[in-house]
Amino acid sequence: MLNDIPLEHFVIISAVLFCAGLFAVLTKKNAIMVLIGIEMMLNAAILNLVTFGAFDKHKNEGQVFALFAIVLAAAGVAVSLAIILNVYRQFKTIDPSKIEEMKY
Amino acid sequence: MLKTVFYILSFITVASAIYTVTCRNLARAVFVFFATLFCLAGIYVFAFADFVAITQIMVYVGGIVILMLFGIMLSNRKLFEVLTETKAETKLFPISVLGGIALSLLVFAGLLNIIWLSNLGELAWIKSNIASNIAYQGDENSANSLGVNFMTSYLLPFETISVYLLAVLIGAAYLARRKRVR
Repeated sequence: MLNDIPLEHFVIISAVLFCAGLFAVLTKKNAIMVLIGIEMMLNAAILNLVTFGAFDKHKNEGQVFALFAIVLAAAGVAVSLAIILNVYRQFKTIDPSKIEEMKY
Repeated sequence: MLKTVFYILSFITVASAIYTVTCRNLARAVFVFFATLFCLAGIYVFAFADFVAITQIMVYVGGIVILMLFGIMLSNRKLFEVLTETKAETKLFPISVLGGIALSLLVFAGLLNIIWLSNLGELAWIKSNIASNIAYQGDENSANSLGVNFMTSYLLPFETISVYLLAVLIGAAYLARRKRVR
């Protein structure tokens, strides 16, 4: 396999990251921590793409889509942080469970 | 030697990820998340994805984490006080956190079960790719192959994503601007 490291170990790291991100999304009380959780889940997906992409060096689909996912995640963070700042201005809190309307 | 480095990297990744989601201080969580992303880039190198690792360091570690720190620290001080959650509940396991732990452990068990059932090392397409010498050996230039792919097979997604990134950055700047008081 990859430098004699079994494929499962990469995938298990990815699973741990995904579950840590899921935990943050489910339980955290401020929106930036939720955002970090989402990023962690995206990184788990990217790790899987890269891992399986290592078995195709001609088409390189895994690595190409990992790059697309990184760019999409970057774009998502930029917009989400702007939205979080606006939410704070509007509601004076960024606790996701206390924000219940989208009125502007 | 390589295996030792890999397992050290993966240990730091997992430990810092878990610390990030459990610690209460937001600024510290962001800094530890930085370590997670950095070690993850190291793990990408072990999967022969050098270019993706560099992109990870430049975009995520250099961009996202700095953006988050700016977002936290340039916004006003009251926001920063809200974020540290010092006045949060002192109970170790409030019911909502317990539910979150239960659900994520359940998902983790499910994922491990799927990994165990699927028997990844024996997948047919992986075996055939290794046999026909399509899998990475470690001496290839992955950036070269990626560049050729981006300019041929994936040209349309590449252009789309660059326009999308431009639109998103303009949109973020528009959203984050200070509005005039009416």
